[in-house]
Amino acid sequence: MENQEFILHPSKSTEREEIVQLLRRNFENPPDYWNWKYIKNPTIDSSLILVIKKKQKIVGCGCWLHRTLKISGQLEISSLQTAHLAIDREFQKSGLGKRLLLSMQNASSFNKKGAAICLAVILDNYLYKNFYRRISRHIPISESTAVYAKFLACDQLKKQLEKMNKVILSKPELASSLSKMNLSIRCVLKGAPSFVIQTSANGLEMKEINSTFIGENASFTIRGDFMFVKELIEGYYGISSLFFQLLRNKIALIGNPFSLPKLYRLYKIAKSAYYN
Amino acid sequence: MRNNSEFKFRTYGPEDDQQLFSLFNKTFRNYAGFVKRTREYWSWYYKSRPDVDENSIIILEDNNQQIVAYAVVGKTGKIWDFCYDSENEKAEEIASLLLEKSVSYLVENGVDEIKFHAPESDKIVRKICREMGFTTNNYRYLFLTVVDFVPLIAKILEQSDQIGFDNELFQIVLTDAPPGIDDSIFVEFGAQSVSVTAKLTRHPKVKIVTSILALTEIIFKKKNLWWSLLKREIKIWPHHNILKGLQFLGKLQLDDVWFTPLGDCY
Repeated sequence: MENQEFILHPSKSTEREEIVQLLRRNFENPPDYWNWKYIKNPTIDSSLILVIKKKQKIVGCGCWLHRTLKISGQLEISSLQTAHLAIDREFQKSGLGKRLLLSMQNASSFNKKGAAICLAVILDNYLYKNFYRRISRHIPISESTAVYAKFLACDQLKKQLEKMNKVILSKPELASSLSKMNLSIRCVLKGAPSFVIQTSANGLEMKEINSTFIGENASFTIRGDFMFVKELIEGYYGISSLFFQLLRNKIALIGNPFSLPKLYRLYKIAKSAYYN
Repeated sequence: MRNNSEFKFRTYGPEDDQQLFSLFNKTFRNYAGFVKRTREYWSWYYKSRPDVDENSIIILEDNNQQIVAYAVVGKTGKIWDFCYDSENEKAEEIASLLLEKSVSYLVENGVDEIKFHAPESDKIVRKICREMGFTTNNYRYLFLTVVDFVPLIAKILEQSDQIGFDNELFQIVLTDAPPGIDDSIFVEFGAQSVSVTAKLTRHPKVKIVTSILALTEIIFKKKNLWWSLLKREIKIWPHHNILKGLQFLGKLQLDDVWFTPLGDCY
């Protein structure tokens, strides 16, 4: 199944350290996480890790863990859980991820341990729609699980905005469009401290606000649920869901209606920067 | 933090393992996605997590020294396991005490985000989270694909109490099976047994043509059978056996609600 350049095969236990190095290059996790997950893990099985090599160097890998899972009543089945799927940046978008997923499904090339299903945590909706659903036919399964969250500070969001700003500033048309907008959005959201997002020539700037400073000069005030707004930016909801939530009074948008096109443009820029 | 003479918090010790497993298994065993807590799984997946130490396992016990709730609280802000005895008559108080303690532990450790999972149907957790200013949403990051339909269908039919078919042969044709994956599944019902195989030479009585995605969604009840038929996501031949085909597909559908603790996701 390989072309001449890349070789795909189940890993050997001696390759574990090189696999961890590849994962470290591609994911932001502390070193002790990788040691826990791949070095000290008593349940890990090298035959459930597929590696892609180019000139003897591992440039991609797919790691699965085996577990027995209940799926209904007394029905327990053997299953796989996708732990990580990584391709080095320079080889991304060349079909290697697709090869890994298809090889995992193909019994003849991968020891599935009799697994009938495979679970995966996919945090990126775009990746799900364009990769996992299209190639390996993953379906969402966990809507009956509720996630509860409370944000005590906005550090994570600030980091996310910094990443998005790098993308925005690297594209002059986005940066100039943003600097002309002159919008400030006050967010008073359940589950997070209140904050203001301001557009400027430097991209999107965020400031936490307290009850004494209520940001009364803001162009818009958004009241509602932090998770909804976060997932709106992440693309789990379309703009139609926003209108639906507005109608259901789950979210409130207060401001000059004539500035709504600007707000919509900001939403599009933020979304494209998020997905870049 | 509320003081309560009936319940008290204490630190974890390895002698607690059996009680913790029993509580977890009792609480969540009815959900699909349930992974039984065993010593091996618990030792590595929870106790050895880089952000968990023995102080991160918060245990609440009653006056009889019975564990009524526990939480595995990672210093990254993730409550990997949040489990309480929902059958206890003071379940709401127990859950509330546990969450308050978990939050104060995380605040002491300087986290900026707290996150945990609970079944959507758990009204107690929903209520106390609302009171404590948590935001909530459905967890939408867990996905599933079927890597081999033959053992899955065989297991489902093995567990099925009333099969309702006698001497019938069904064939499911998967129109989009990638190379290397069987594109047919044959299910043969005998007088007492069912066999599921990928290869058979005989002609089926009922042939169902569908896609991998549609069949997965049907099995995990993400799709309505009639609606899928109308949308031509499933086609059944011969036409006079459409009802039989739908009845067969209905036997494959799984009903249980899914729940996955945060710890089982990562």
